[in-house]
Amino acid sequence: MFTENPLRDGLRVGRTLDPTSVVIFGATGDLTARKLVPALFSQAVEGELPPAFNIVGYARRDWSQERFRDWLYQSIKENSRYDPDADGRHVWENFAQHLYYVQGNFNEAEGYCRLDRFLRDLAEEWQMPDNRLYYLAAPPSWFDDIILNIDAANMAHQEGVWRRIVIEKPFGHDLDSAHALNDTVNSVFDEEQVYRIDHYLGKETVQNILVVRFANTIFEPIWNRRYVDHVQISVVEPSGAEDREEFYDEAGVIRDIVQNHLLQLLTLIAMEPPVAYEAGAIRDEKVKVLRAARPIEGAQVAAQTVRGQYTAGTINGERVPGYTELEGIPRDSDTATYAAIKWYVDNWRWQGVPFYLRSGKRLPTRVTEVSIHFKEPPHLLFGQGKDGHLHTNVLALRIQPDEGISLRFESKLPGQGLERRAVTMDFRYGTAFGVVNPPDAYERLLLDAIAGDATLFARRDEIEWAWRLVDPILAEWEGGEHAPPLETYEAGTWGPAGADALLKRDGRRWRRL
Amino acid sequence: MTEVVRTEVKRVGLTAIRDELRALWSSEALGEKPIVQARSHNLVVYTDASRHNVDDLVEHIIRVNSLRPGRVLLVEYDPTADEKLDAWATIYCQLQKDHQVCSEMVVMQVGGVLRSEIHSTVISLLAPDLPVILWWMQLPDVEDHLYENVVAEADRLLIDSDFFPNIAEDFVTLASISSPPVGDLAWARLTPWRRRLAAFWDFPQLRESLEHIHSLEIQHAARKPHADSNRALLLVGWLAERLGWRLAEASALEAGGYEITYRHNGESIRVQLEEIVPDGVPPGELAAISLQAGHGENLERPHLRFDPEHGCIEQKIGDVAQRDWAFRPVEPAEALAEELDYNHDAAFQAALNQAVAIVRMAHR
Repeated sequence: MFTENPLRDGLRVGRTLDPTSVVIFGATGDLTARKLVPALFSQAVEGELPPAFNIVGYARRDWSQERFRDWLYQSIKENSRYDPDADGRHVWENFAQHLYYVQGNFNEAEGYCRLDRFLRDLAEEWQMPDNRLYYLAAPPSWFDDIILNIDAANMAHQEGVWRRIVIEKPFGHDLDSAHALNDTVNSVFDEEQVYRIDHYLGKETVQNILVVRFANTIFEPIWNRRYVDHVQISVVEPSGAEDREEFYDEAGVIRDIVQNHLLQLLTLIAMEPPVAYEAGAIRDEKVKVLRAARPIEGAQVAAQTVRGQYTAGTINGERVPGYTELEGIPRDSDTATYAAIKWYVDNWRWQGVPFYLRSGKRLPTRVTEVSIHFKEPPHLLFGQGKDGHLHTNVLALRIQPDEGISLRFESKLPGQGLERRAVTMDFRYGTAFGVVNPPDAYERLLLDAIAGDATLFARRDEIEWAWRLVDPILAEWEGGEHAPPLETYEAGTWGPAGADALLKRDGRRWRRL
Repeated sequence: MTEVVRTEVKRVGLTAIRDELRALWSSEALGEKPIVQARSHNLVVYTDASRHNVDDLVEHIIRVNSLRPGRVLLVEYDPTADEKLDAWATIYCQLQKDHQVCSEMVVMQVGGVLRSEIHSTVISLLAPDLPVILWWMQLPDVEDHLYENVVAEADRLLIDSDFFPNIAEDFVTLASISSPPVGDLAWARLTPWRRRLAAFWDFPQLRESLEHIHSLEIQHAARKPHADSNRALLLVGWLAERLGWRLAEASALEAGGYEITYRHNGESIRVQLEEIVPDGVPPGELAAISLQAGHGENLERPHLRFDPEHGCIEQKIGDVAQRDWAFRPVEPAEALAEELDYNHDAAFQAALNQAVAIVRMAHR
């Protein structure tokens, strides 16, 4: 008897996924419409879904199956990589047969019993094992209710089948709340069943950071304090806080971006080589980075952090209102929409190398980039350049858009003299591999969760260590005596003057994005 | 989709190809957008103009270059010409928002005795330190001087068994090539079918039936009797190798198609390859795969059928429809691009060996 499917061995694409029902809590929300179901439909068209596969929505709205399917059809049409009327027409008809809706309240046990019965019947009808991937797409305030009711209905129990849960960020709003949420989650699910999703980790180019670092021999020997002067990590965007004012004013840039995306990038850049490419080994190394990051506390907060808030300005030729002019934002709000932070990682590899992190809203362009700035040559054989600058080597890993890697180095200008100019060697991810329609990060991550691969998901201790790092900063920013001033910056500029000063004090400047 | 532009096609002397390539890279025809030269391999293509439509081929290669950029050296042999030797160089660019990604192609037209001399030019034009993939568009003659010299530089040899005129003999010849690793574009065209077939047994409860397959029927489109059976044979070979079947009997049917018997665990497996008239299904493409597996109440009848009208493969077990998979026959450029991603493919080699065993027994 074959325990594994022998026809999968040597097959060029795809992986074997167990028959699965994905159960979305909060299924009538924006995330389901914009990301989750369009991502699953794209994978259906590409033939990557398991042989038996259902999507079951659970939400409070009194919708019929038909309404749910019609609504998802429209969502797929607007947000999927494939058009259900064109390439995916026949697939849609099939896909739609496996979409179901169960109405129920998040805080009423009875609804979960109905849901459980429905899922059991569904597994029987399709003659498939009752494997379930629960996806919490509801507002975070409902997470506790949902998890505890899943437990009460005995829906987390695994016997001959598997049950997993995907949790969307934010994972708490500080260390205490994250700890409490994790306690609740782990009181019902073992850590191996829990998939905390940060969609940044599903991006090809974020995964490529590990490949660039650990599949090449030329980078790793110089990836340390002997050769690296400093590292810059930027996540900037031109959009404002519109459409999520209430959430954003509570969260601010630190909770929205720094605690998760920026620190995830920091760990991938700074981590030691894992012993294997597997979830446990990689997450162990990431946690070590967070543990080694020097806490920024008390007076250091004023010295090493900058906070800003945008005012009205112009983005791409259009006037945009200032943050406090938005409906739903208090006129006197002191929520930061920009952060620049200088961090140190106190370990053998990175001692003394500053990591400058910045993130802001209403900046001129949307860029996520990590740049490694190397030290000057020990002896300036050719002196300073004509423009008075020595352009040190920079290795830039562009996460989005125009994903790729570039290396800046000095080159001789043609001619009699020895004039130099900085030139760039460019690798564009999309063009080199002919990727014209890359999969969304959710596509990768959803399939990983179904496959039981937690490598690209955050572990409990990762989340909590990240909060340990940002909590002292938040404490000062939100009423402490060492808060840096809340600087304003005009929308469409590169952020507050203090951010430039932070680097200028160290004799450095932000890379132009 | 990005727009593809090309510089003028420039006729050049053989010795001046390098200079012309250099000149083209600084040509004004490339426009003002910054240029990114992209090259991940050398693709050397050999074609016989009397057998293949070179214009179509060039279009396929341009498409492949947008998927897998590389330097392309196309040798076009004109068997009707005497002492002919012409060369053209072109650069193709995909226009992006703020830059363009470009790669180059050199076409060498050769006729007469000069054919046996062209290899030195081809070798001198290879971009250094990049893998060399040789796509020989017909069954290679291992004693051919040109083939012998070019294949010596190649890291991988690609052929397309869809073009083999006599699959029984040609598979045997192909299987005898031991170096470099061989790839077949027809094998890449089977990838979607192999995936769909494998998916049946992702259900653990069905897996036991894999040990007890009684019959396998494959329909494929054929232009005439005894033609276009290469993919069907490879698919049978793949299943036989993966499932440990032992070939017992094989015969080529007079009207076309094959009847094959395998043995496994003391049971017989009856395999039938049936040729059908192409009707919306391109020649060589599979039209349907049906199996019977298991015993008694647990008898399973997985079935896949290509529906060209709706562009999908229907998946059924018995009469119960399971799902439809979007499908259209793999285009030449896609098959070539897929093969460029692989080096040695053990699954193909094993399937080919099994297919050779079938045709040897059937045609002895």
